[in-house]
Amino acid sequence: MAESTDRVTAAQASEVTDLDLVRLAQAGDLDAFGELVERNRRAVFRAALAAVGSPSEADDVAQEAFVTAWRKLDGFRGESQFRTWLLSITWRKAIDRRKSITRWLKLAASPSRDQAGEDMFDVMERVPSLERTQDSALESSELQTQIKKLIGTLPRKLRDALLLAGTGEHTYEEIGRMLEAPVGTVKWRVAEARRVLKRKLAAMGYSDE
Amino acid sequence: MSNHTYPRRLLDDAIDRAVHDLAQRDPRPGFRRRVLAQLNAAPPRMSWVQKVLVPAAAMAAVLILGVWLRPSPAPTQMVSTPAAVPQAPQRPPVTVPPEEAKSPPRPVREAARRIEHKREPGVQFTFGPPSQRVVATSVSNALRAPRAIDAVPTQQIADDPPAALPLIRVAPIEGPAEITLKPIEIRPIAIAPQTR
Repeated sequence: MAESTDRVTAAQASEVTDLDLVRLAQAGDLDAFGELVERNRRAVFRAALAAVGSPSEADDVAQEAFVTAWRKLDGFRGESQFRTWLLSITWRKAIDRRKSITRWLKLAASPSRDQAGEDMFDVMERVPSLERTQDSALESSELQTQIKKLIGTLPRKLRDALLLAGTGEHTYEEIGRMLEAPVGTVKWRVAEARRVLKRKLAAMGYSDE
Repeated sequence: MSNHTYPRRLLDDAIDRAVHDLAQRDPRPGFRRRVLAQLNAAPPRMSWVQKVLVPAAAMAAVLILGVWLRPSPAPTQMVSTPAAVPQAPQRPPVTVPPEEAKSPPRPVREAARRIEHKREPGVQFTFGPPSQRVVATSVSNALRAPRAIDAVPTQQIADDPPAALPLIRVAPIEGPAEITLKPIEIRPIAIAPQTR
């Protein structure tokens, strides 16, 4: 398929900055916007996942975020990074989804599922195998199960900060913009979440030496 | 309850591992294709010119239509109804008593009525003798102010039988009376030189 000379080719894509792609997309270049989707899909998806807890819902939210960004692209002036702007949209969409009444009705209709999502705690497929004895592996698996359940019981502000910091895709500045909190507050929330988890684990019999 | 003791770092590592497990997931394959499919199905994005001009043009059209279709103001109707108020004979409008006029009174248009005219004592005419039109200030001699909207000449009041109270009728407003001002004559004042 012949490429248009005024479109971004695959070879050129890696050399073009996000801002250049945004300018092209603002002019109507859908391929340029597609490249922006490719570059930011993981960060957007993981941000949505931290809020809604379910991969299928996070996929929907991430798609909605990109569609909204496309519609509002003329409003992006370049004062901040495109990614930061996009993540703010994503987080708002995710929170709206989390608060939506239909979501609660779905969860209430399926009581067998975990509150955090349908396969959020599918532990047996997710726990990485460690080079331990069978007993310690089971113990580790049990510990992971407990920790994941306790993460689901954390206050939302602490849980959101902890999960966003754990995505590996977001800087503290980006997390601060999403949560509308200073960087120092975000770091405190992450540390506090870990302290709360350890206290609860200790109450369950899991403690540090 | 079984007691599990871990080295300090191990518990932190276990928490990290759980968080990464929950948070470090990827979307299903074909995410870009799904997003672009939604964008292609969505209506085309409007440029900022369209977003601003189209609503502005619509508002302008509504305003123009509203002004064009606005009904013209109707003339003021008389308040009194024929059944309630018996018709009184029409009186010719006379607004200036004869003893005050320095020149013969000019005929006044029937439609021109002097609305309630109260004269304050002790104030001089500023713009010359009174004409039958709007006067700026009061008179040198006090006058009885006519109370009715339709001014009645003094002679006619004396001739009319005093039995019934005068009827108040609200005449239609024909518009403001024409205002004419006499030009001001500035005469130099001769000042006699002072003698010591």
